[in-house]
Parts: sequence; structure tokens; C-alpha cells
Amino acid sequence: MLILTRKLGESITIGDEVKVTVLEIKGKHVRLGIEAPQSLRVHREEVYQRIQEENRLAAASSAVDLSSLDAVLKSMGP
Amino acid sequence: MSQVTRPTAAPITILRVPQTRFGEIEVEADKLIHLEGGLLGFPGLSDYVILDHGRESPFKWLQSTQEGPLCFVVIDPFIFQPAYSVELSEAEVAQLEIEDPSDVALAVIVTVPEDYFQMTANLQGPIVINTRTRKGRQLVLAEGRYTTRHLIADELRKNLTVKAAGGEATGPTGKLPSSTVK
Repeated sequence: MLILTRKLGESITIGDEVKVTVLEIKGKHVRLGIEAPQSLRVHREEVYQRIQEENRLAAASSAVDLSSLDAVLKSMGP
Repeated sequence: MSQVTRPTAAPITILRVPQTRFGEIEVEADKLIHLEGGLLGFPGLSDYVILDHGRESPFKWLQSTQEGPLCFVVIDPFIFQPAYSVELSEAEVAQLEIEDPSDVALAVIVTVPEDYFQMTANLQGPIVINTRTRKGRQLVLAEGRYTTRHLIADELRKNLTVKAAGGEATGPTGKLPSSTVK
């Protein structure tokens, strides 16, 4: 991991198209501004991980017979 | 007796997708949906098609046309959460070339555990589709409102019952742009 120290208002560039700026520091929170092309996804890491993991689980669980799922709904009654 | 002249049909490009759970299937190229950036966890795979399961079923397949075995169960979230709402940023609207809200369809991915009654939908990572341009994208919503594991069986049953009793006109399968498996 590359470690750089920045002060409020300073930035980091990643490649030619990404720039991260420290916008605000408040106690334990750092507010970061990110400039990046639309094609690059920028997300809070833990949320990204969770969605990725759920996608993988869903793909693995998709070998179901959808008629069985329909039957589940019907069996729950009106 | 008059003769009916049929106009020459425009050529349709057919894509063959081997090794799907339905075996080899044929898909019309203009039914493809292009998911910008692919789905999280499956980068590099951006071409999908939505396949119907049954006329009365709210569930559909999101089938990769690049990798036959890759397939997801999806559903239109408004079927079980009529109040579901997602805000698109200007950049997302521009990227998907959305001109009107009626262009937009949403699909959420369903995870099916061993106990089918516990099936969940990922409301935090909905797939937004512009039904006109067939461009889509999986969004990552900020924390707070929705989770990646929303239990849907109860809500589905309630809302489907409402519709069956003559509620809304949307119908049980929502408005996802789907086609039939061939």
C-alpha cells in the first residue's frame, strides 16, 4: 500500500484520470472529493464488498426451478 | 380473392448462447441489455438478456449472453415494494441516456437460500435499465434506506393478492423488458 500524508485541501492523483482531494477533516471523519471518469466505479469499500458478495451468492443460488418459487408464494395463501 | 403481399421482414440477428441452464438458447441481438461495467463481482461481462419464466410469475432470469452458466433470478422491485425509490445522479442519467422517467425499468437480484421462504432481494444494488436504449447499470445505493438482503416472500404474496383482486394494472410480472426462452 502506498502511504501519503495530505493536509486539508491537498490532493492525490491516481493514473491520469483520478484525483482525490481532502475536503474537510472533522474529528475522526475525513471528507474526500473524488474526480474520476464515469466508467470507473467509486464507492465506500464496505458497501461495494457487500453488493459484490451478494451478487456472487445470488449467481450461485440461481440454479433453482422458478416454478418452485412461484409455488412458495401460492402456498402462503391469500 | 385478393392477394396479400407481406412486406419483407427486416433481418434479425440471432445470438446463440451455449451452456445455459436451458441448454443452448437463441437470443435476438436487439433484446440484449448492455450493463455498463458489468455486475459487481463479474467485471468484463456486460451483455445480458432478461428471460421470462412464466406469464403469471413475477420472477425472471437475467441471463449472461457471454457466459452461458451465469444467470441470476431478478424481479421488478415495485411488485413487492410499490414505494421503492431510487435517485439517479445527473451523470447516471446522462450515461444511460435517459430522456424520460418512463424509459426506466428497475430489476433487483434475488438470492434464493435453501429455505425458499427466506428468499431475499438486493435492494441496495438495483439494476437500472433504460428500456429504450437497452443500456443499464447496477447502482450501489448509500447506506440507510435499503439492504442487500430484503425478505420478499411476504410482501410479494400481499401485493400479488392485491393485484389479483383487481388492484393495479401493472400485472404480476412488472415492466422488465423480457423475452421468452427459445
